[in-house]
Amino acid sequence: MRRNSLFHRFSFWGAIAFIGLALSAIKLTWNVGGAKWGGIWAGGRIGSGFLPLISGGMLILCSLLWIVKMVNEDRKDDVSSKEGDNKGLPARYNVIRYLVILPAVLLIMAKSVEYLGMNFVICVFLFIWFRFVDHFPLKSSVFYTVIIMGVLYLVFTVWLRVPFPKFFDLF
Amino acid sequence: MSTIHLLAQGLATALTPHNLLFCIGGATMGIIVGALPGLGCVSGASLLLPLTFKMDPTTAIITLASLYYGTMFGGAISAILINMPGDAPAVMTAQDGYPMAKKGYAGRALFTAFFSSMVGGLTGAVLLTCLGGPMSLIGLKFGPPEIAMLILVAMTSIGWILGESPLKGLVATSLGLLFCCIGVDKMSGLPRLTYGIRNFLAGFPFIPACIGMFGMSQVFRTMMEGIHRTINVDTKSISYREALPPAKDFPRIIKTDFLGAPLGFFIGMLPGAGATAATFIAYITEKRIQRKNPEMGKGAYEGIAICESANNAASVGAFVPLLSLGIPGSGTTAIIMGGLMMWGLQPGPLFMSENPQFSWALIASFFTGDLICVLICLTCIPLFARLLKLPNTILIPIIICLSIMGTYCVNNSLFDVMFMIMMGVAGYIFNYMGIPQAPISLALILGPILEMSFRQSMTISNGDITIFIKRPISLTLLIVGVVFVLLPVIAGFLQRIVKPGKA
Repeated sequence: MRRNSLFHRFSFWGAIAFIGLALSAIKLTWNVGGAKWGGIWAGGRIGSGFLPLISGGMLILCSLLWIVKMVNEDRKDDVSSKEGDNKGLPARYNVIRYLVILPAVLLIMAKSVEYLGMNFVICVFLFIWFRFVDHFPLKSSVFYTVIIMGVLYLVFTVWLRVPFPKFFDLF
Repeated sequence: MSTIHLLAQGLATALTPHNLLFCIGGATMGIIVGALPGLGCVSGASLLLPLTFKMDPTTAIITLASLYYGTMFGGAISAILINMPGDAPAVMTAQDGYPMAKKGYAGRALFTAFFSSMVGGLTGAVLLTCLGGPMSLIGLKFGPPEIAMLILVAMTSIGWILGESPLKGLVATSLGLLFCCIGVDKMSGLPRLTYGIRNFLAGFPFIPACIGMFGMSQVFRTMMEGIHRTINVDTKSISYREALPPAKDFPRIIKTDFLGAPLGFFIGMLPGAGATAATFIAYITEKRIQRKNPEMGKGAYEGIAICESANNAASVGAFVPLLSLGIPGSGTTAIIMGGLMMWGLQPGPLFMSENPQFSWALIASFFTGDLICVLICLTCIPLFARLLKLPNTILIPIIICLSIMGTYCVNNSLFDVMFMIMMGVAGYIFNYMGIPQAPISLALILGPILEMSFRQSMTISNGDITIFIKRPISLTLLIVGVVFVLLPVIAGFLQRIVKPGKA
């Protein structure tokens, strides 16, 4: 498959991120056990740092090979390939909207569960989603919210008695 | 008394209307709990256990056991329909089940899963009836070195699920191994890779990660591709008739089931392995066998059948050490063992001879329960498949809510929910970059078992690595592993010798 520069940048930084993760693991291996190699092998026993070192090392090696492979592919590729011609390449607008804003909203929502209760937050989320994301009419939004919320409430709260955080100790 | 007589007596007890009713109730609950993301068989059994306190012990164990294998049936439903595994063993079912559903054959995928679950469960029950005692003794011979080698053999086969780019597959495997190091090291008590985050002390949250990587990432993908205002897939297989796979495909399914079931049963018997490890090992074994099948991983019957037959057989296999030795083979059987003690029964080597009516009623309930589960599930196939007819506008918020509420149920933790959302983004990025997610989940499941058994082996032998070749079972497994690694290399070399012109 022919690669374009945006895809390559994405993959390149991905590979760099993996190397970062692996280096962190190896650094931790040194810290575990308090002494350099003590965390890996001590007194005929394998230490806590053994697997992090092995997996971290493997990750570094594979990520480096990945980068090398990408650089080689870059050379072979047609230089004139334009950014955005790769099939399935997400538009920048969508990336910001659905890969940054949507997860951020979901994270805020998850955090607010602690204060507002699970059922209340889910209820509000469903209504907002139907009304403002899907652009349903008001009546349909309320209808779908009530039906879905009702089923979820019956299954999780009434039947399974999951101890969800509650909205002012009410529901 | 012969085994047949004992089983007949057990069947008579299990088939009383009272016990049958509770078996149906337990199975139905299990299917629902299994289908809900995050709530696996352990949560289901824990939720049901207090309700069985005042029941007759035989009825109580039948209810709990039927819930256990009901969850195994249910886990496949959400995995196939919305790519969100209901429980950990269903992670691999989604690999082939969801692509098949996306092709418009959700009914066939569900039928294959339920049929294979039944075959797996029944085969497991037959093996338990006939070979339960002797096999538990073989299982006992599997100490840390043997388990380490068994997992190593499985890991050598990981190459078969690496996907189109082995390099990215290796990145995924190493990442999975790195992730499985997170948490307090069980042998030394030292925290690893927690970076001061208290929630990571219990280890890498596997179920939230799977819900995020497989389920939530689908939400992001759908939104990014702008298809959230369309019907999910064109589900053709909605009637019973169309849910049946073509007659020519049945031998493929049955052949795979009869490989997955004994394999799953045996791995399920091993302490600490459980249905999840059994499913993963069975899948990679099948992937190795089906290496020339281009459909594998993209919607093959074999991929679904092997996982479902293995996890159901493993759930029965987990009862072998419990009934014959009083050792629980999995988390759920540990809860069931707690139930046995709560009802005043003492599990141990004499358990079956001292409580024949109770134990054989339980074994008989595996047969009746499996048939009940498959009947319930097959009846509901059109209903389940209709879920895919829901427009994405309604399905997406439902998936988001189910993911959030289901993830919370795992540990009653909001951290898990936030982690799941972040893993959803990571899952989307992995997908986009072409990094396969199956090796990550495989390494997450098998990595800790491998590390623990390897370290235990080295501790037992005082650091002498020859322990793996001094023990006959581990030596055999080691040779198998070496052969698995070298076989493609030797085959390639031989091919070059035989056809030098084509090399």
